[in-house]
Amino acid sequence: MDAEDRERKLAETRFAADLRSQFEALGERAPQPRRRRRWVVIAVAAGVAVAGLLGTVALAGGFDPDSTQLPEPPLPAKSVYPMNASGLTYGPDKPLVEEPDLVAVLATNGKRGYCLKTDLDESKQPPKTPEEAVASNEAGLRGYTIPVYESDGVTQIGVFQLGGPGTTMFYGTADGSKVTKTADADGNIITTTVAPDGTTNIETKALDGTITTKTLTAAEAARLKKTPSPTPTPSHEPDKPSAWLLERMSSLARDAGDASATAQWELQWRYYLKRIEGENAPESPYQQWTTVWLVIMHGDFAGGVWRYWLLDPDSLNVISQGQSSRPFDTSSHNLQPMPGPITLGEE
Amino acid sequence: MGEMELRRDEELLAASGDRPVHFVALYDRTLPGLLGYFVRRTLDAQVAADLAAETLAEAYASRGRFRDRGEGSASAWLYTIARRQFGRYLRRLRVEDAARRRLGMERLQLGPEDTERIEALIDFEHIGRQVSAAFGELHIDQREALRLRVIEGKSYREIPAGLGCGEDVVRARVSRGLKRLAAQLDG
Repeated sequence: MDAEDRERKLAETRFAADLRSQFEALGERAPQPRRRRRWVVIAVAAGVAVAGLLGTVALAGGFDPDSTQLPEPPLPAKSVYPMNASGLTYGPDKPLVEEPDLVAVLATNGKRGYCLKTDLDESKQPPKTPEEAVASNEAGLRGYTIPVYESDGVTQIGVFQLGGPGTTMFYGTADGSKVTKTADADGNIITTTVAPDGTTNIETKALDGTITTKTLTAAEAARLKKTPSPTPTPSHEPDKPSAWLLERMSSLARDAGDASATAQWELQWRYYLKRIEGENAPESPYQQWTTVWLVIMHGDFAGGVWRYWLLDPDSLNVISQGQSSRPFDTSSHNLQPMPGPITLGEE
Repeated sequence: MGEMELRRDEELLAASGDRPVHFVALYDRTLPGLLGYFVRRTLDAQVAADLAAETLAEAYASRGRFRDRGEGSASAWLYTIARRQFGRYLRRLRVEDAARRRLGMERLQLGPEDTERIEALIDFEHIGRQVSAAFGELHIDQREALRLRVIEGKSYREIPAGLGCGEDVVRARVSRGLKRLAAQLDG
């Protein structure tokens, strides 16, 4: 049965018959629809002023008085956001509501600000060519930044990071292969393709574009799977943070006033550390179970020698921070022994 | 062959303003196409049936505004309404029933046989290829969120652990990912 036959069969369904009956009943009882002609008469009766206005707008190309197109429904979302002096709306992005022109974010330096929706959208636009698709995916895996502004949309106060290490892509191909893409700490893109017969191809693409590949037979891949290393293969030495976290911690230490501070770090799963934050917890969308990087440093800082930062592992934005003259008591928070400390600012 | 069968869609639609019976003739011609249009996009027979019914109800209520601009203009007008209905469905993830309520029409529940016939319009193999391609073009954050929520069926509470972001962010990514996926499949 071809598609045409299948569509014809639809006319015989109970649904089609019942809906048809409803329209037949409407035809018997419904009043005549309001006709456009009446509006034309009213418009003419309203006088030259209205006609002139319509003509002016029509000439400007803004309104086709004879259009059969239905008007677009009004968009309610704009009204939920405040507007700045330039007429741009700003605020936190609300799911299922149209985004504001300036979307609230936390910059990598911890400042609250706004990204232009157009900058964020640019990162979401579907690529136009296969080459663009590859470049876009790789940029997402390696991570990149866009400017963060004050609510005026002009004064830049920092940058917001999109994607980056820890991001993984999964997809299937038409031949049934399963593909996983990820970036390591050095920016290499690692693509693992597992064919339906188990053959596994591992491609590593370096920042300079150099590609190395390794192919495993199904048996080799299975053997590798059965003998996992006791810990996930680290992309860095176990007692050192990966390069991107090291860079972030160094930047935090520099900003706090001691580039040579010692640092400890750990990825934690918790209810946004409310117990540490107490009543000073900032209003944040992260007040729920989530993963965070906890970084604790000891150094010559203004306001105390101990500092901690909570980082959003997705963007590495600072979502909370604190300082003290004494070591933080982490015993009540079930923290595992943290890696480190290491001294920052050393080669 | 009756008078109505000889008429063009545009003539039927224009004439239905004064004689609603002509709209029923147009209904017979257009319902299968509309059901196919919606079910290929939603992959859900009941949603497709609701969208088709609401589209036709809105067309019926607005038929006085239609102007015959020649061959194809009735279809273009009807599918403009259909596209907007589909857009509203994507934004709100529910089918509107304003036009049907205004006209006093009932919502019709599909039986198993009707569901099967409507689903028969879906070319799953072709859709599978399309979905795979469209999925690959999504932004990486949205793709991950969709994979965990839709493919793996994880709850919004579980997902943040895998993505390292907040639940609100995941919800927004899933919502936008679905919309973009639907838009790409529609395109």
